[in-house]
Amino acid sequence: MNEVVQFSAGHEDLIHDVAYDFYGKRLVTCSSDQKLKVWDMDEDKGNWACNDSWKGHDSSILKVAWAHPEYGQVFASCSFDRTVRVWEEQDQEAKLGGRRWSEKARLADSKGPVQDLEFAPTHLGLKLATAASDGVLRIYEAMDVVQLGQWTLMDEIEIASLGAIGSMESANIGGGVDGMITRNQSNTGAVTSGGSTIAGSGGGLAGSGVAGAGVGGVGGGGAVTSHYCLSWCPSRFQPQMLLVGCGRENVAKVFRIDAHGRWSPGEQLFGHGDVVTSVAWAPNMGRSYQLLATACRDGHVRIFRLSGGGSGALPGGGDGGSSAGGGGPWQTAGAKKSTTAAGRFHVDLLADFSDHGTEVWRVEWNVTGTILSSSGDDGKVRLWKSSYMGEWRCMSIISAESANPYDPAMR
Amino acid sequence: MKKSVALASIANGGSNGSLGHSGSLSPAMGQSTALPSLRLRVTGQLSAIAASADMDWAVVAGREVLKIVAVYATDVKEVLNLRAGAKVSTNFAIQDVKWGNSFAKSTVATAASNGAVIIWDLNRPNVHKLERILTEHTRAVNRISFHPTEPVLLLSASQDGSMRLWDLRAKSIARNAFEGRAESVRDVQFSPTNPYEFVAGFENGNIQKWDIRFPNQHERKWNGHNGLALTIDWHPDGRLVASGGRDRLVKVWDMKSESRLPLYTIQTIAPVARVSWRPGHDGQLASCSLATDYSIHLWDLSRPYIASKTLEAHDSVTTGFLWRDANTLWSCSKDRSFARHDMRLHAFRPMDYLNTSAVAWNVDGELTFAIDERNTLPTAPDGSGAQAGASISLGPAIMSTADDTGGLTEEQRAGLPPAIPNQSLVQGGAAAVAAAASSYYPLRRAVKRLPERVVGEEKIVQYRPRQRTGIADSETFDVHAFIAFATELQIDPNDVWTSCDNNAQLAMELGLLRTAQTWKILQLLYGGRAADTLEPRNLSALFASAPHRSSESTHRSQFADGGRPSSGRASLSTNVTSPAVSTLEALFAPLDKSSDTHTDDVEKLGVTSSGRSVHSDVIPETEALHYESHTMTVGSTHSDSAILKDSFTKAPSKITKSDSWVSTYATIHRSDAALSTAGFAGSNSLQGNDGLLDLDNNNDIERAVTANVRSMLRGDRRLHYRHGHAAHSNSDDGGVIDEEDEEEYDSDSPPVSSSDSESSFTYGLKVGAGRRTLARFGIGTRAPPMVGVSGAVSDGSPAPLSSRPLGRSFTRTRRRSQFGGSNGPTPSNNHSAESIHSGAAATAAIVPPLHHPHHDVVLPRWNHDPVVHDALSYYGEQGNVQMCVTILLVLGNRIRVDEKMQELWFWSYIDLLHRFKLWIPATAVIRAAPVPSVRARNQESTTIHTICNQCSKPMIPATNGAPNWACEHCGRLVNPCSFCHKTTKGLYAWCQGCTHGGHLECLTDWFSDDLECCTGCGHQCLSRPFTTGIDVGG
Repeated sequence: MNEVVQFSAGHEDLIHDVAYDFYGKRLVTCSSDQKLKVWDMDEDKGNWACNDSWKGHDSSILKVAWAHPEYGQVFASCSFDRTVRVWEEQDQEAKLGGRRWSEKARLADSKGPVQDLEFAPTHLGLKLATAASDGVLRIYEAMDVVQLGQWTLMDEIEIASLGAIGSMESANIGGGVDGMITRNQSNTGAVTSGGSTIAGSGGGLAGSGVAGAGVGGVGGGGAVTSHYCLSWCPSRFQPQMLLVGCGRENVAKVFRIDAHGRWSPGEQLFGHGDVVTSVAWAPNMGRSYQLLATACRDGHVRIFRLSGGGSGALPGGGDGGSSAGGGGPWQTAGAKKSTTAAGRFHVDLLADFSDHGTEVWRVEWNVTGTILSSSGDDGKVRLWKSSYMGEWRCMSIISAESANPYDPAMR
Repeated sequence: MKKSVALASIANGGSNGSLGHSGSLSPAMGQSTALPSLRLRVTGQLSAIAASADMDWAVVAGREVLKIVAVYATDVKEVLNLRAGAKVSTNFAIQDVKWGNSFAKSTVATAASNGAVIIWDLNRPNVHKLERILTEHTRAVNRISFHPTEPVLLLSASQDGSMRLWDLRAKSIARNAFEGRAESVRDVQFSPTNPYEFVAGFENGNIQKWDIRFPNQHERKWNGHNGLALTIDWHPDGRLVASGGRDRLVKVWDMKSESRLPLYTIQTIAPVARVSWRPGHDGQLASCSLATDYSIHLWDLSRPYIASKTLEAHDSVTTGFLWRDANTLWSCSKDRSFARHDMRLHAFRPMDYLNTSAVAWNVDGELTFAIDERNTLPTAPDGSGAQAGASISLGPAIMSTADDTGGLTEEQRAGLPPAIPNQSLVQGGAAAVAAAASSYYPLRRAVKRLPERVVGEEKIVQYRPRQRTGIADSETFDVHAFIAFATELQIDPNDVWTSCDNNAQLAMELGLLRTAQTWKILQLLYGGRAADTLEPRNLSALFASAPHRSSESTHRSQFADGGRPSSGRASLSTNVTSPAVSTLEALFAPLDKSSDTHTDDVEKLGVTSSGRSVHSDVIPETEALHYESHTMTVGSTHSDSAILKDSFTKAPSKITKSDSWVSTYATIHRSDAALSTAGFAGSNSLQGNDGLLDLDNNNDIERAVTANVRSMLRGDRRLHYRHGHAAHSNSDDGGVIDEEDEEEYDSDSPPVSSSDSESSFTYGLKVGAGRRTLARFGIGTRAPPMVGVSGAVSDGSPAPLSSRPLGRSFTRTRRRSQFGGSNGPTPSNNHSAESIHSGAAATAAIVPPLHHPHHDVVLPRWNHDPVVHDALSYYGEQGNVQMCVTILLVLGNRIRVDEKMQELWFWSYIDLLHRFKLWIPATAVIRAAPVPSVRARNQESTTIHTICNQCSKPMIPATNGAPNWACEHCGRLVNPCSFCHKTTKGLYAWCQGCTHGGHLECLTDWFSDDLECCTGCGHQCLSRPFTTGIDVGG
């Protein structure tokens, strides 16, 4: 591989997310410059042309996600400004006029920056899950899919138990990202005295993760802001499930909906040394098990397998399939096997890579769920693939330096 | 310079929070060591805060609170409660509080919501510090400001729309009143450098600059904000003013510029309650919000989109804050607390918590990414440490230029305001600091600031994200092949052979060798029935694509040797057979990963068989003898067989499709041989049969697989045999053999089939006994997919080939003792010899005993399924659902796969097809899908409602769901033909002039000799006689 062409989106600040639409012929980019840009593939010329660019939020836009095209040309964005906005293309508006995408809805329930969002797989309807730094997972649904302005907040799920946050706080000392901060933070701890220090305010505003965790973080210095992330289980043959990165609990959990329609955490993906920054549930095209990936601030990329679920086993061929995934000599040394009492899945850690060496921000599966990409502060995108024998290996590394000049914005 | 420092000191002391500069820094509170955060809780919500001139004390105010607190390095204490003993009239909510400076150091002024401005004198000896109350404003006073150099001057801004300048020396009478004529005044502040200037912000969004000498009219005005302007703050340089409004914007204005536009705009997420420039950091200012957002954000104008620091100081709205120095913030809040924080320690950088990289995959396997470049250069922990140090000398630097109120030089314009810190540092002569700063302030800053943006008259170097974006083709998804497969793959379950053939060829053309192999193997496994119709040309074409590989493997060639003799000896080798054989070899050859033991074994087989075949061509009897002897010798080599056995057992456990195929194939020989030999023995003695049955009953996995494999081999052989026969129409009832119907085989084959092959075949059947009922020779009763394959009833020639090795392996495994007695082999020889010579008659004598015991035995049905399942799950694992689905479709009900899994594959594949907008193939797949839930998808969501075109009532569909052709409401026909008055179904032609029309035929007929409408409406539909059908209806 890999022919890399430079794609200059012309944002004035960091690009935080890129998303292809269902067909892969349309891109939306979002950035800290508060702008959203939609790009269309010009199939004749083979380049990307800007469809429109507009100011979408009042702060950094952190994530974008396309809805399935059966709902129209619709995507959602979430931002540091604590809102989620849903956009729809207006065919009658001129391209590049700044008004081609109209804001159909603004979901402002969060009390903190909305850090992640994803549309549910289409068989569940037009549903949108969001995770915000207030520690709440919100699930919206457009009951009438032609009324994109009307979203019902179906569920609000507390991701983190406050007790867990408290305990992690102490555990986190020394695990700070910035060395200097960490050092000073211990000073802080030593110096605090009397009732007038900030330590007393840590538990304030119970239930609000952003304030509680945040203020506590000010005192603790390390991981100040909780980072939550989510990913839907894309399989149509599994119950509704979400993989959620649980902030400073340093764990990712599978949330699923029970018979009473309540969401609750089930299997836990352990072994993370820091905040989970990104989770990705692999599309399952033909496997008898589920693959999950996490990125973590501790610099690791981890791949987990969920197996033993109620459905999906291949009789006859199933043995072969699962042995390809699980058994065999290739299995990563130190692979852990844990079965949680609550969950129905066995959780196996299939792979654990520290190649990035610094914060990993993103894991993303390809469309067929066979290749995992991870990217981090080291400025590299690494691709991981399961080898012939089921061992996960680095397949290729894309670094920015190899990019050739190609600037669609200039055309 | 000296003067400027003094001025600055005063100015800062009195300004709204811009307190930090060198003159006011006390060494004890030095910058090098960061101080811990402090918090003091009070009894009520706080709304404003001010600091004493020496920055040691703070005054905090709220509705119920007015307190002086002393802030020490590690502690904060309340020292004075001004409310104690105060009169009732002062108990209104305090909107703002300011602390005097210079010789008014002991003066504190508060603004109340009832319009009063209250002056407190801290030096009063008694408990009551209240000095006087200024009550000229009719509505609440929102903000007050001490003059920076004349602390007896106090400016107040009121909700009543006026601003008043008070001289505290005078008697409670405002020296001037300024009418903004622009609604309520929300904030007002003296210029830090020009003693006559002040700026005010209004509720209509205006920003006005005034000169106190001209109280009638403002000097300048900007349309600052959309909605309320809530706060303003002068930059210490006296040139820039920052304003914040309820529109959630912070704007920076150049007071010297003619431009009506702000120099900078910062978007925040909440209404901006206060802004304050950070001392010593030209381009930085802090803001807090009126609601929603409790944090204090520090902004850097070079990166206006995201706060460079965020301080979560309070649990509720932060109502006021000020800079104690470049790093220390004092703040008060509705959470009833005063707090002190250090920006370096207690604030976090939001960017640190923002994803710096983005990656997205599209369905083509393209990868769009944006990745961070920061770490390619050394990173600074945080610039603020250096900046703090720098700030000490920065203040004077600025002040020296700011002295000149008349205007700045060009040089200063360019370099000064919020632009480049480094440059400012150098300008100020603080070279050492600059050097220190640049070491902290490394490439990151320098690189980021390279690009320049022209705003107004300023050239401001803007932050540029150090991020690279690009699109990489991961080359992990062959779009071309996928689309080609999707559109051209043949999925006809009624003709497996052709479908597989077609698909294999397609894969070949696309260069997908493994896929082609899979199809070919499937073709051989399942395409059996169609093989009879196979044309030689086809076959060779099928295999023609493979030959380049055929040279690779020794295994293959050995096998070829072993395989060919059968046909060659019988002189049956036609054009068809040999290519077929070689293809088989070619098929397996490249996949061959079998162990050495395999190779060895096969080699032996090959050698012997070929040797034999040479002879056998000439003299069948000899061959038989030869064969016999061979059996004996080989049979004694136990070790070989053991090894083989091992390798064989391994084979099925392998997941890798290709491997297992190969090894099974290799195994086939052995096992098959073993079995047939066993059978052979069995035919001679009842005991032998029993033994075989035992074998069957064991039915362990290995054996089952063995059986399976064998039948696969059979399939291969059958090809030769059959073709051989066809070509030659043997003397041995060749005609009968040619028949394709297996049942005929049943009846006729006994005489035909010669001993060896027959026996082996029979035994094959026997092995399968555990699973199926046996018809005699069983072929006809087999499951459809298997029929062709196993039905390859033997003819004389191939048999020896298989039976020979058999003998050997069988001897090893089970029947050695019997064989050792040479009982078995001998009769077998006879059989073969006889049968070959004498044909039907001779065989008939032998066959009955041979077959008889097997009548009730089950046919061998090699259950391919595990192997195919392996293949399927392999492809599933690879995410190649296209293969999975296509195989499922082609094989139809020949293979059973868990329905859930099938469904998954189908849905995934359909989803993929949709992603490529391959709607037609997707629909074809949906229609062909064996899974009902998938098929149902095509029935979804397309409903066509029809209405009567005459009465506009809904048409009620006929009972079968089809559209009705007459309206039940008006009783009239839908679309009746004007000519024949019957309902026109399908094509409806009409005249656009008179709208009459109907069946094309009718109209053609009518207009062949008429120009007017057939209804008699008088319209002349045609201008000239109708000649061709195209012109109907004019």
